[in-house]
Amino acid sequence: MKLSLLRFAAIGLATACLAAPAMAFEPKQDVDMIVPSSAGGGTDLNARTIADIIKRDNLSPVNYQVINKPGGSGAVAFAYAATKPGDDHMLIPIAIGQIISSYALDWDVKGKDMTPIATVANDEFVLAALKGRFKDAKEAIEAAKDGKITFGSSQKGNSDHLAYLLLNKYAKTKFRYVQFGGSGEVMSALLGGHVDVGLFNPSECIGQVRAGTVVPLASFSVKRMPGELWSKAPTLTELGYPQIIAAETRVVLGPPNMDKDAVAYYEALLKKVTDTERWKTDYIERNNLTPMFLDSKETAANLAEVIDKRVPIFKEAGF
Amino acid sequence: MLDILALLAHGFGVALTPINVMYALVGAMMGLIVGAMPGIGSLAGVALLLPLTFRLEPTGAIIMLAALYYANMYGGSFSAILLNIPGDSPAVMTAVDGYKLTRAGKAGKALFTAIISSAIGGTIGIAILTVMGPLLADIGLHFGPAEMAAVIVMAFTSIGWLLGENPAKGGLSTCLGLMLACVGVDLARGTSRFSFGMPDLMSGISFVPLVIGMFGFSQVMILLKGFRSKQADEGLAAVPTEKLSIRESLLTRAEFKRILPIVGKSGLLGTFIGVLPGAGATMSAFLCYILEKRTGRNGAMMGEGVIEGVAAPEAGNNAAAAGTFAPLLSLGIPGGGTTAVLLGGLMMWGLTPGPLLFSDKPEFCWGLIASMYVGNIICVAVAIAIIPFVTNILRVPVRIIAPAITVVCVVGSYSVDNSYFDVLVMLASGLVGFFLTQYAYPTAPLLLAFVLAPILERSANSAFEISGGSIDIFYESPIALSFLLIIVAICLSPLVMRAIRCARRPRSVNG
Repeated sequence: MKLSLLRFAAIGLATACLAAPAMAFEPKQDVDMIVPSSAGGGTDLNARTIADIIKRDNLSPVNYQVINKPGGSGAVAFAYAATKPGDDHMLIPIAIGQIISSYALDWDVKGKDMTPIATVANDEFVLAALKGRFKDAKEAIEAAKDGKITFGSSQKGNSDHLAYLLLNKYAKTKFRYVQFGGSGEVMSALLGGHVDVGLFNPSECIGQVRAGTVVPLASFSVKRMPGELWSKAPTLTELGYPQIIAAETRVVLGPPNMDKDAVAYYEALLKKVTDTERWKTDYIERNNLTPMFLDSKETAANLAEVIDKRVPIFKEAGF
Repeated sequence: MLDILALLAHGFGVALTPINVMYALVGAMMGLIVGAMPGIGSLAGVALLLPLTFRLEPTGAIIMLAALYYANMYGGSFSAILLNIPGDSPAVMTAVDGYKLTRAGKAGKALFTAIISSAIGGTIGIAILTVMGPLLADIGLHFGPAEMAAVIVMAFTSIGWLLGENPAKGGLSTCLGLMLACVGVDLARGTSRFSFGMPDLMSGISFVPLVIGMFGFSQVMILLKGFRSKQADEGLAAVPTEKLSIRESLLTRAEFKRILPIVGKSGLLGTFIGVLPGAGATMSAFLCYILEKRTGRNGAMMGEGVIEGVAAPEAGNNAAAAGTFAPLLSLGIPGGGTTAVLLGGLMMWGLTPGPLLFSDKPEFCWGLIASMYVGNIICVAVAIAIIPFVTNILRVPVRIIAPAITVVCVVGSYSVDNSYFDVLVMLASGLVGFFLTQYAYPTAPLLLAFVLAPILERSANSAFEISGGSIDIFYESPIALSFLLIIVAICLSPLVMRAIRCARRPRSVNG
């Protein structure tokens, strides 16, 4: 009896706390950041930077620990998150390519099952070739109409592949897709003359671009990329193909059915993280990313746009 | 040449500053520990340490991380030799002969051979990197998908020399490895195959839990099988080991002469394999072992527990670790997973890896290269100093060590990807490994096939995508063609030899 009285009092106290107007949600235990790829990759770096900034700037009362759950290019992490619906202490930093894969490769748990929280950065794509191989993007696109120009990329069923399919569909080219084990191998093959063009994130080719051995022909971005290295490359929109837009957007998701107040809390927290100087200089600038922040609603809308309008191209291509 | 020496001397000036020597020392110690722990390889070690180094200046930071990377190759051999659990994948071949030496009471010698071979092999790799790093990187670029496919097919052909006494059993074991390697992503379509709807199988079976199970966990079962209560208090080594001193572990002059040419050969081959895109230290260790088994004077004995079997793979994997720095530094292209993480690190420190790095930041590049010479010496000193301590593990009674190894196996396989599924993979492959060993099926061909098959599939797939499905690409490239001709020569050599022998025999009868 005593015990239940105590419990009753505790519940009363908890309700009182919840009713307090200060904060609708505040994490009560350490938050797991489930990274759906191995340590050392782009998503891992993104997660660790976020966790580090939160800790150093004291933005949240609890710790954010990064846990890598690679496998199935993200399917393992999605399946794991699906077993914990409504868990308000889990974040999943992810690249949009993995969300695309969940549809293109038809995983059991898909991107829309998760709760979108925010978009934190954008990693653009550029089409690049050896210096002197093509005069400009137009020439490359013309040359690719006869189906003999090879296009090096690193994975199927993700955003690289989507960029390729969009290019072939709307620019009416017949680039030949050549898959490699990673962007380093694509660059080796490009430099060795084994493929004609390659698809890269800026950080994957900046060394070669700066040395002048590789030239960015065009970008898949909405606007021209800033900086003297990249600004000469036109966007594909400028070249007359406004449908060809693709990037490796970095998104943070929550597990299915995350509480609305929790979403609002993490959304605000991530906004604060992306506003810090350290995020801008040490993460965005050094990795040649484009700054971008979308809140939960905008992220959901953006994901829906990509999933509903662009992903069906995989089916059209018979993939 | 003089230029290089001057630059290198300048590099030593950077590398030998007390703070940088300290970074190399810290990196080397951590690398030895990380390498010795199964499950945590250099990739995880470097990735976890990387964020901590962002506050250091870049030269010191990369000196530390590079030291961690190559020291890892030393550490991996410790647990392979002592417990038959390769601490990381490049140490797989070391376990084969190394553990047999341990069971024969020669753990100290095996460890010493591993350390010396690693040091010399690594130094050969660094020397080649110093003199002709950029040139080597350019040669690596000539190896496109078609050429890589030909190289791997050649490696597959050479598995025949690992099959052991019973080729049928070796062949079956190879096929099992191939079958396991088929689980995962189908490259042509990007979808998963043989995953039976399980997300954990969608990207295939991980190598580390497979190896830990095949070697370590099956070892536990073998220990338990021969378990009698009176043996419970004995240690792992069949021959009771006295307390090992460093002196007893030292190699005799004759033994040193035996391994020196092997280490030289493996150092050269290993460096070259390290430079190739998509190959790495694991493949290098395998191929150096096979090369030695085939061409070495003591090759026939390899696999039975001889120091040659430790020297070849250890020299090979350390040389490959140095070799992967050639494309990283001169082109900004990572040769493997660990160097890819280092590449990320370079960017975070505000450096741009690429063709301009050597001219823009000479003190960084040459400081790193010089520090690799220094780091290797540090590794040798630390590793030799701890031999007497680590060999004590062999005197731990079986009733304690068997459960302890089991725990290490479980933790090691879980910690790779934080996955319970990997623990199951480890247990299952332990069971398979146990039966394979009991019925005298060799496990090395299985693992080699498992490592090589995905690279072959990827390279061949890319080659066909480039050529649009035509097979011409394989003989139009002179490099690929010459490798394919070598394969034909390898396959025909037994027939030719027999023909020669037959032709000679009648003459000798008559004469």
